[in-house]
Amino acid sequence: MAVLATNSNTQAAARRVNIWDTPWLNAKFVTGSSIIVLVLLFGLLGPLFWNTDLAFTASSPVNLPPMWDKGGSPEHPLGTESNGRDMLAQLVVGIPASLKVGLLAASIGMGIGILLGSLAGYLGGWTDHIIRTITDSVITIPSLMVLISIAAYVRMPDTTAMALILALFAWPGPTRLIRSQVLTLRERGFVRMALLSNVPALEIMLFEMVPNMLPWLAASLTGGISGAILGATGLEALGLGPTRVPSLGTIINYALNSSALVRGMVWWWLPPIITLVIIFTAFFLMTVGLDEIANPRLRGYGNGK
Amino acid sequence: MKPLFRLPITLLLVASFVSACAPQPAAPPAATQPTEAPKAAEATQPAEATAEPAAANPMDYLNAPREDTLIIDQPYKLETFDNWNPYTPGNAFGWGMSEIGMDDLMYLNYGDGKYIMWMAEAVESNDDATVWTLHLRKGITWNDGVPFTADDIVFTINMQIKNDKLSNHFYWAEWLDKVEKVDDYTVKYTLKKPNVRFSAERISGGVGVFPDIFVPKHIWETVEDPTTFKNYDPAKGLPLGTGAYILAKVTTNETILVRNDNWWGAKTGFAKLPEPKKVVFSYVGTEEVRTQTAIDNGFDSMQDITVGALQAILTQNPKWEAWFKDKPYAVPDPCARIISFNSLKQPWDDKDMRKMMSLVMDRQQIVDIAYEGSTTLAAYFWPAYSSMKPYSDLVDKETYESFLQPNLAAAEEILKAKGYVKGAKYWAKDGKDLAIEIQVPEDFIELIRVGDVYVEQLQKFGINASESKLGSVFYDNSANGNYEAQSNWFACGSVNEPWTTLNTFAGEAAPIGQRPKGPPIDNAFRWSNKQYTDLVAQIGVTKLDDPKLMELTKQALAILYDELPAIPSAQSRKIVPFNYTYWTGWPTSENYYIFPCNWCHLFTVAMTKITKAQK
Repeated sequence: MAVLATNSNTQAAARRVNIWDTPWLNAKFVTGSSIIVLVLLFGLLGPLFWNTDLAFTASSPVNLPPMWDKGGSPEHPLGTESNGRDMLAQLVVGIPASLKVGLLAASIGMGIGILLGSLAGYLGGWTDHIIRTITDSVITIPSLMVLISIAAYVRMPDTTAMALILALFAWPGPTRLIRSQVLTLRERGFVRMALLSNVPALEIMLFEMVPNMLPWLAASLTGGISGAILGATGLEALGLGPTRVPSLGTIINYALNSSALVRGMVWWWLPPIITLVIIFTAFFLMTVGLDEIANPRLRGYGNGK
Repeated sequence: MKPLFRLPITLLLVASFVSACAPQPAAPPAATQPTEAPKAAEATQPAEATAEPAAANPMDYLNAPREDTLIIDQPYKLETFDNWNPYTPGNAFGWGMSEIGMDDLMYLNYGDGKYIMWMAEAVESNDDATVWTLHLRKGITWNDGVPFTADDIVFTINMQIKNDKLSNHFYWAEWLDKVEKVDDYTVKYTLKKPNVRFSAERISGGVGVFPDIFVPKHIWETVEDPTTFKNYDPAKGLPLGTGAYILAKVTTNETILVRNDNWWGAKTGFAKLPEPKKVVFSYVGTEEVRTQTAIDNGFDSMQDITVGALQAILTQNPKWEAWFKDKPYAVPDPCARIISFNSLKQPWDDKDMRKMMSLVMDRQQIVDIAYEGSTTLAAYFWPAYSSMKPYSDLVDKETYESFLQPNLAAAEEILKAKGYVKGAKYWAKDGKDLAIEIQVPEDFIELIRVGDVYVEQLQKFGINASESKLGSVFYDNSANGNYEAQSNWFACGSVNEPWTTLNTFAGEAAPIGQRPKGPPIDNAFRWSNKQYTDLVAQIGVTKLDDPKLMELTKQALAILYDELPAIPSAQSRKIVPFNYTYWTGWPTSENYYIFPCNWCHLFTVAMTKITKAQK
């Protein structure tokens, strides 16, 4: 009994060590995801602590500086802008709105990418030719130009419409990536075994191959989210976003239209830009981290933890 | 540690992405920074400053130095650069040609209510105002040297009458029986019915009315289809005008006009040859960029800007001045702002619903937020000018005062009576939330801000209001009736008499999908009231000194304020600062010789008054 107990203790200790010895504890990945979690918490928990109605036009006094500046008020700690919106409330509402656009657009893109990429890579032949040709063609289209044209004509009551428009160009990247991965996986033993066992093609794709591509998919998704947020912010900053609900790009658009820069209203234009820089950096770190998790060769000395 | 090195690079990359996706605010395009090119040009034109001989070729002025150049800010993009046909929709005429490339017969000065005779020497009518005679000044020429005569006027009007796709067709079709040339300098208009305001509507370059732009008969008589003719070929001198400036160059965001030293006005001694040799109409981007460009002396005259932008300019460049040197800075604009409803679309076909929309509107808040206090509270469809006061006072006092503050309880009563029930967020009927989409022209910041505030007021009250910013389709939607509500200025017209604004609501409502049969934006409201239309028709034939005019106007106003096809949203104001670095003599509140709009025909008058600033 004593021996057995010692053995199980040793195994438990070894297991504990193994828990920490995992590529998922990649420093970049952990840093990036922690930042995103913090940003998300700010947006999700913010409404519990701050009145989000103040994010709308005419809800507060106009042009108040932040509370630490002369003339500022603790009722509006980050100040207000020319349309009578509270800056803190705008950030609380705007951050999740921007993240939502990114997540939605990238997820749709990824969904289409998984389907088309798997079909092309697995089935090959004409299917591959057709999908590859379309994908390669769409990739060459300068998407921002097309998006600006589309966004100018589509009425956008909320951010969902914006996400759908962005998704139009969010799928070719993942499609290409997944196709190439499927091409290599197709030749692996476990896939061949599944084939011999007469497992249906769709099942092989979704249940054998996709789980093996998870780190790549995740890296592609985080990259996609950040790309979609960039696209959305660009459109919004140009004034093509939804008008009522603030997002980070819309705040920038209003600041630009109201000459916030030359009026010296730093508290208006700087917070959304800083937030965007933080978000982009975090997603970039996550993408690089996930890439290293998926591909051990990228983990250099002193890296990869 | 590699990651530590990578992080700053990452941040830099990300920052550059972010900055790449936002418009660059600080650097105006090279074309509007004329400080470099002119220096070289100065050297090539040494004689200019002293002798001022006429330029052999006006195109030489394309190289005019900065101090001889006038740069005018344009807040909108140039969408169709190659259509300079003034009678077709979406043309580029407002990029310089209608402002300084053409002359009007006469101009109205809102300051004293008097007319400035320009190409016309005199206009007179017979006793019942059915026959009008126009006497032209002698010596007017087109910029290619061909004389401008009665033939050009008769040709232009007949062309419009023959073609219902040209913009003034319906006006002429309604009013004009025939137009004849008496001699080269005399035109006789015979009207179908009396019109005491004919000269104000058709002959003067007032605002809201659409003064005629005449075309050269010797060019247009060979044109097969005037509705598709682009009127654009700078090599052949098209578009051809009579004004002191000729269109020389058009780029994506700029038009350049150069002075014609042989302009008829100067040659005949009627007016001074304008001093600027080159005039640039330039779009540089958002207000942020426009403001920075102004601070850097990249503009001499700006179109409407926000109070904040003006304050930034005044603090950083003391050479700029607005209409008033201090608050309220702005000049009252002749076009009052309104929210117009499409009276053919449910539920806005119901006057009570439109009234409810007015009851929710907090106009003082619009003044405070959207205008940042730079305009005054009033609820008229026309400007609250002192010249309009006798007519404004005809609105029933109690009715008028009910417009000055919101009355949410009364609005709720109306909705309840109509069967609406307040849900968690919105009023609803038959399970459907009450919603409205308000269209605004994109880039028209003032109207967008009015829309923003109003949408929030409606949302708070329980109407699911939204705002759509639209490009040129905004105007198509207005003409074709594809809207529920718009934030616009389409009741614009009256400045010193009531008929012009009242008339914008008169007539038949064109079906959705068809343009209204009237001057370009008349009755865009799809509202039709026979009693009102008849009253307006009577006002149209009543002379201004006839006491009957007041009674008729009062009755028409009573119907208008009861039916509310549109609701007054704000008295507009224009903050139009001028830069005194290179040019002086701009119109101001103390020197009110012409309304200071660089976007309308009246600017021709200002051009002959401004002078070079003494260094």
